[in-house]
Amino acid sequence: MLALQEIRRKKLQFGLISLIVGLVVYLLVMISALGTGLLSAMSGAVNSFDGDLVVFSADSNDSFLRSELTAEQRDAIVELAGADSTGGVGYMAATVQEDSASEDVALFGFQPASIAVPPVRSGRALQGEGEILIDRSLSRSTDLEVGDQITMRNALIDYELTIVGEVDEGQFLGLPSAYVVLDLWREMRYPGQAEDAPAVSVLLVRRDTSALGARIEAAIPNTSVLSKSDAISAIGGVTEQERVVMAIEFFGFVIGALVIGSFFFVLTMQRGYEIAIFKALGASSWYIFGQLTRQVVAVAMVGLALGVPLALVTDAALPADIPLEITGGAFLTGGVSITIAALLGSLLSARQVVLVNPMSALGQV
Amino acid sequence: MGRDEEDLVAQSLTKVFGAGDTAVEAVRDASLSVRAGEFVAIVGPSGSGKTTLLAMLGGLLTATGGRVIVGGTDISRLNEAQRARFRRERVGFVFQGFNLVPYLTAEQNLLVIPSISGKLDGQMRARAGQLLQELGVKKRARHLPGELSGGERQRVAIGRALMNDPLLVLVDEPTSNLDSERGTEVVRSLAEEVKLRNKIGIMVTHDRRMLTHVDRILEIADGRLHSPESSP
Repeated sequence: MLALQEIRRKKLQFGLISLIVGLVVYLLVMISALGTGLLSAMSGAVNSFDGDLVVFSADSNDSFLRSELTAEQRDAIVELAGADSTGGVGYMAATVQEDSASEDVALFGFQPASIAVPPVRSGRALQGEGEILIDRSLSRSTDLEVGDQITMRNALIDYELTIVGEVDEGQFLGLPSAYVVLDLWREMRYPGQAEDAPAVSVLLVRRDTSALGARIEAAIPNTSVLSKSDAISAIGGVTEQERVVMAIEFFGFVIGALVIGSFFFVLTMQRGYEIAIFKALGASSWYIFGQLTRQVVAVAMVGLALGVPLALVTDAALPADIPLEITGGAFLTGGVSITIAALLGSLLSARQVVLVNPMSALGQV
Repeated sequence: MGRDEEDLVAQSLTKVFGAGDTAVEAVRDASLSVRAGEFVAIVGPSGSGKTTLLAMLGGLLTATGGRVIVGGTDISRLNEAQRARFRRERVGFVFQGFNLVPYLTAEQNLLVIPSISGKLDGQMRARAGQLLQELGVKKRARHLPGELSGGERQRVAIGRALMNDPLLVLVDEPTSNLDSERGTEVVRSLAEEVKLRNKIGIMVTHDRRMLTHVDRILEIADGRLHSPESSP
């Protein structure tokens, strides 16, 4: 009763700190959303792969850009893991041209009728080499849509392709992704050397057992097997980017804790006399700290109620090409962080509460 | 309940602040007893030790020597948590300068102790209403202390002190912020409440004009409580 009554009577004071907490929540949600968006832009397409393990050529240093598996290696892996649990994927950078505009894309070739086939969101699946699937991020940034004709240029060779479907698999290395059948990808990636060219860039393997990965590496020369999450971390810049975002989130968390903690510390100092009265009347330090904690939680909740809608409005207002991805995780990060930060910050006041001498209520220290 | 369970007995109370060369003996070897239904004044000049003595009687301060028994409980033996419980269950304080919580209404100020005790219910709200009625401030129940006159605030403070139906009512300089007429009125109300509700009432004051309604007067000077315990 007492804690909430004080808030009711000091609306301006508590309103201002709630606003500040709301802005910290907003900051944390936006940082988290930006981190998720950046990670998605770098590795969303890989994250969407239906596989638990990714097999690279060992000399590629686990890079999608450099990995090349031969047909022999691929067949040996398929024999070990089973045809139903594998899928070959090829990767290359390419340029889509439509009229006078061009757009760089991450082009994936996938093995038909395998776990590498991306699920089609609209339109239909690929049926031949003259067709392409585009990711939603590409249609958003270019106005391309199902049924459009595009030109894919690589090594001075133009490939006329029809967009037959749209997928929702995400970006790779900051580029929107597009998908063609593996044979076309080989033709584009290794023009004129189809016979001797590598079969795929990497092979996806379902069934996440460390034993299987070790068996593949032991049995098949020049292979390196990573879990999908490790494969994502191995993408150049992803780990560094995650660390930077985590550091910013951490500093936001610390600043939030300090702001809230300082407010309640000053408030506790200001009302030392009132605390002395409560203590003289028989309240324990625990009771008073409990009341303080209720106020802290109330302020954090109001802050969340202000910060979360503000983040949603910002997300809706920003252009689509800004890598901002507000997810439940972003809200959870912002909400949980600020609540924990508020409670930690309130601990600054705990000692003040304990130190108040109830004799102060009698005008004696 | 036996007679001694309704009394306050203080034996050889001493309080020393500090240690060594800087030690100050605020109260020296003070003994007194007060019966339920009795309203006693402790009179002395500023710095004489009367507030320190009051604090020891109410369990706000631990004595350096001696003991205090209230209603059969030796509060000198209680730890801090037990003393806090003793204060909220058996002591009613009327502080100097009212000391009402500024952001709570008159009624909510009375409900502070039930809130602290976790006993805030309809019965307690009814009791608060009844006390405010009896003290003549029922109409001001929903007003903040800042909206009340000095006399009204003091009556609310008296109501708060009686809210937990305490055995011991301790009053610290109740008239310090009131003019003589209002001060006398407040002391008269306190004396009436103490007798009506059979409480042990102890008031400390330096204002001798306020002593007409007390049963006994004790004088304190330089930390020593003086006898004889003469009636006014």
